[in-house]
Amino acid sequence: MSRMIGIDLGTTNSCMAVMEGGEPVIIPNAEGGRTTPSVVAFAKTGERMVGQIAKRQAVTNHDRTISSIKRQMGSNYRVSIDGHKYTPQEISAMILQKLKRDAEAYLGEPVTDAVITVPAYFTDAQRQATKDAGKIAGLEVQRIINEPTAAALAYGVDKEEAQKIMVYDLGGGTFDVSILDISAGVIEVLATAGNNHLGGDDFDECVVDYLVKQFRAENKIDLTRDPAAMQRIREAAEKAKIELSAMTATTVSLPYIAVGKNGPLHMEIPLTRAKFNDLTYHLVQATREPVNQAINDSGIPISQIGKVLMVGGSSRIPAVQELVQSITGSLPFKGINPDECVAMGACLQGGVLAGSVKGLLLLDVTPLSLGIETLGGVCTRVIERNTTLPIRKSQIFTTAASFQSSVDIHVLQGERPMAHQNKELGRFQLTGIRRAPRGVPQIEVTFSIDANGIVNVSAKDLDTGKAQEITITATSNMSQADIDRAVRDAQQYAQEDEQLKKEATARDHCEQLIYQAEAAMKSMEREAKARVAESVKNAKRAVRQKAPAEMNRAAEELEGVLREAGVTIDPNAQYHGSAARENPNDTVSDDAMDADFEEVDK
Amino acid sequence: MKNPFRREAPAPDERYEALEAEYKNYRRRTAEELQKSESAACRKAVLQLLPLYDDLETALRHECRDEAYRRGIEMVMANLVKSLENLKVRPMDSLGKCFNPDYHEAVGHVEDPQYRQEEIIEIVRTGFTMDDEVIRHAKVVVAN
Repeated sequence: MSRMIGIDLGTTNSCMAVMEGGEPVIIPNAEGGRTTPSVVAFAKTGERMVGQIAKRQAVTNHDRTISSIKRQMGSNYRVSIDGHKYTPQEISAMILQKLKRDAEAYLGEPVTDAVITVPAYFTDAQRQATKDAGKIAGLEVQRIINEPTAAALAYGVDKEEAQKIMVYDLGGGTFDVSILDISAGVIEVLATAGNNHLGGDDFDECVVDYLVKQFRAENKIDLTRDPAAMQRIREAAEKAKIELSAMTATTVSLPYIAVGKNGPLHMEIPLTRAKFNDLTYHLVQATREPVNQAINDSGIPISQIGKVLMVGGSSRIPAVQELVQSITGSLPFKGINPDECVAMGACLQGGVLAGSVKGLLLLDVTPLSLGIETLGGVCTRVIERNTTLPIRKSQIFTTAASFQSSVDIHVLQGERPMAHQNKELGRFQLTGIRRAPRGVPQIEVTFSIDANGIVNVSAKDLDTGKAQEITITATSNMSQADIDRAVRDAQQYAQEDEQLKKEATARDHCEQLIYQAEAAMKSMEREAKARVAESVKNAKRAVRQKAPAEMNRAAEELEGVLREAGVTIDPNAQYHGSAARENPNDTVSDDAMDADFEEVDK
Repeated sequence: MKNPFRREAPAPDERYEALEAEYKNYRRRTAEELQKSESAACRKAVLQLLPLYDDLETALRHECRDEAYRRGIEMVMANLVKSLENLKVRPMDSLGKCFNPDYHEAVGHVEDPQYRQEEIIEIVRTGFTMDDEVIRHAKVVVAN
């Protein structure tokens, strides 16, 4: 019988775990390491190397050594080796392949299924790429889950009473913070934020710089000119950093580090925790903003955050823990090895899926709103940002012009009200619409996002039954910084955008009435016709002037006149775009796929 | 008389089987780990002490005008190597050899025609084997 493993596929290091006797256990790799560097290399002979061995030869072979490929997942980036262009998925698959092999050797059984974790802000393209990587490696990826959620599972927070927690993940090269809501065994990601280029290596660099500077001041020698000395200093700096997490002072002792005029020179520099905190203060502070943003986005007041889980090696640094405590007032939780808890959580989820662990449910969220372009270049939102997944939502749209035989569905991602301000994820056409006046055809557009965050958009002509759909693979990633910027921009330009949107909406409304009026006028008596014509003229003028207030007034007037004349007007008509007219009377179907689902209150 | 009722043997419980297999593998693995644990502990201790070897090596590379003092350091080093040898720990002799990531870690790279392809031209930190297994990779500078 084959086993399922949980895999933390990290930017710098990967880790895997398996359920053994009901508990997650970390699987060491073939070299005995509990984590495996996420590095792939191609030897000059073409032989492939993965992990520590690839790292060891990186300096002699850097053109053919690939690290941090996770940053490229879901993008068009290609690695060209020996005439073959590798996608990021293929490179990641090589890492997964090694993990799979090593796991099988350790367990003595085949491993065919896995649960793999991804950052909470990963787009659908990035998630799909991760799933593909698993497939290429010969693994059936049962689920893609978010890293903070996995950490929460590892700590067993889901088994406690209802609470809201923060997951603070400071790894080798990236920082991510998330707010989770846990109740009745269901975990929901409320918000995420972070910094894609901040990690433990930056802390080491600060210490190295200090040591070099001190030595230069005392001995007038620049150690940066001696690569061998810098090697020793870097190692010593990392060692000192780690020691200062447990002790309040240490000494960096490197005998015979250089040669001076009068003989050998030694480095003997004391380093207190206080000094270390000083040197790295700006780095620790840099995590403050994302923490605050996540708390704001979640809508949960700080006082309600019950626990903070620390993930990632650098979360061991006392100054980091102090910062977290000062912001949230809670003592950070660090019971489980921070380098391993994500893999353990993934493994626990695998256990649930395999039926061996009781009832945990995961609800992840979309990082940005999704919608389609409608008349006037407006972005009509179908799924709100931070909506719990999985979700399926339908809305009925209609044609903007008479006898329109096809509609263009432009799928958009972002928070701005106008289509061109948001990112287009994809587009497709639904053709073969039966000739009819505008506003008559009924096109049902359904957005569905599965538990892994993969988006599927379909459009169905309810008359002909014809349907078309796409599964979204975005053309480029949005990093956490991009997402944060998109949200910030939307808030900043909210007023401006609101004005634009008002204008567009008013204009559509007016134009629609004008159209209906002109159609009705054909069969009116002279007197009524004259009254209507007058109102139509006013409305047309208002539209030319582009003043929303004017347009609304003229529209109201026209509506009144038409009603008097006995014309039935469609009061809800709001024609939109080459697809779409939003019909608010339409029943929005909303069935979650396999989980309890609640609308996130914003 | 033929028994009109024949009971089918109950289908084996898949989960029980899986658990049994898991348990067998666990026992095998634990027994192996127990055997290896003594050498694992030894390896851990040796790795902690090897930086002292490095410092002595660096010290000996420096000029020392006091002959007697220098001789003393040389003797300390020799005794250390002997103690390590007793634990089956031996330093690697990597200079001039061909770079092999199974044994070496490249920390520098130079292009120089006077050397062969992938030749190790400098040892930055000596590598060690224990019982012929690598316990610490040598940090080297590689040519070409």
